[in-house]
Amino acid sequence: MNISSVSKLVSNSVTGLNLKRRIFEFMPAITLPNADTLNKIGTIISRPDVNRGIMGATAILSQPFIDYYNPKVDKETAEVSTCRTIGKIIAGTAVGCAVRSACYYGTKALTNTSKNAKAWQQLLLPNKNVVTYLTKKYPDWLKNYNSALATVIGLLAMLVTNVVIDVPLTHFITKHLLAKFKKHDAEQIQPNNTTTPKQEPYDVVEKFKDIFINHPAELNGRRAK
Amino acid sequence: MLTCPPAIKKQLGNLALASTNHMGDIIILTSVAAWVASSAAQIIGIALNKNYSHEQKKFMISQEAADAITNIGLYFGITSSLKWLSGKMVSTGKLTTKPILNFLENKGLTHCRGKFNFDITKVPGFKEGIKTSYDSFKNFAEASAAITGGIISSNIVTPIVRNEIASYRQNKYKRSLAQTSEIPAPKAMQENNSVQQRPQISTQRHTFADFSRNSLRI
Repeated sequence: MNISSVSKLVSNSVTGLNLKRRIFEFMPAITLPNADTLNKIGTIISRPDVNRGIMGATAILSQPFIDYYNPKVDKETAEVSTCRTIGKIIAGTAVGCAVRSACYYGTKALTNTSKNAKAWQQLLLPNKNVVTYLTKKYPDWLKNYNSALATVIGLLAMLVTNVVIDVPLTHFITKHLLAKFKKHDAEQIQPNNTTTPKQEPYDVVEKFKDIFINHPAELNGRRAK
Repeated sequence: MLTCPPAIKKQLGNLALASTNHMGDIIILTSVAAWVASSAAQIIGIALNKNYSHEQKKFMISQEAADAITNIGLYFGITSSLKWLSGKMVSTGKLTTKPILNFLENKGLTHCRGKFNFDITKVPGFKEGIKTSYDSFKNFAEASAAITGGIISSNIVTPIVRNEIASYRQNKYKRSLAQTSEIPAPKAMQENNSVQQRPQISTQRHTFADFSRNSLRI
């Protein structure tokens, strides 16, 4: 009995049916024209604050809709969930961008490679031989280093700001959004439930005639008041 | 004179070398660290909260841990796969730039471009020719893939999976309530609760605000 096909099948199953290779082969060949522009874009999007901003912007475009149109929960839960998600995204992105931006500019100020720089301006630079090696081989290394260092410092800072700022801010935004949702829901329900009589257009002349001619006693009563 | 201790300088050197060629890895690792830290904070918050019973804590910690494993697993799985794909596309020349393509043309290797086992870095003359340009481009491609993977996993896949899991838990809880409601309640209890309301379960993850307000009661 030939077992090669069976062993191949088992081997393929073990290696995930060569899924990675299949996806790789499915991808088209692409040649990008301007490498310098792409490298600049890469440097910008690798910055922790920009990165957080991109994540936040895409999150606000997708997550609230996923939560709001979740068919497996009741409407109230979906609304609470949506408000909370929006609150978390706004608070997280605003605080995250601010903290990471501060970290980025802070590290940039402390990684000055110029010869005239003061000692404190080189506080976060690596050893001189590493700096010399990288400057010679990769002239743009400092941009990536700043981003990486700011990401690490930002992560440590966020451990504190998450609890101190993010959580109360999320709670505040969620509360306000939830109140607005409830108000909107109440406004939508009201016209169907209440049976307010249809009002006739208000005719000023007719009203005056009614008071002065038909009910003069009532007019006297009003004057007395 | 203001300087860092040598041990920190050494770590900064490692970070500088890693960030030059492996920005994608740094983005993934720091994001995973952020997820872990956030989840650990939630779990510690539950564990230290005195307002919950042992049973409640057990349930909530397991719920939070399951959430963390889902989030981190999906993030890591998707981003590292995308990063691998982009790195492989660059190293085989499938995704390339004009200078790298010119290098392959000069070496007469354009027919090898995009083949799974082909590796540009092993072509003779690679180090002298285009190594710097190649490394920068690969770094860009991997960082972009890590960011794209982060967007797909954190903003699309994870919320959908999290909602599915939460609604599954909600339904399970409702079923268990329905089963318990079939057993007749004591007479005194029936008299007190003429209208029985079924509690709603929020599908949201708990935060420190919830703990500090003591509003989380199961």
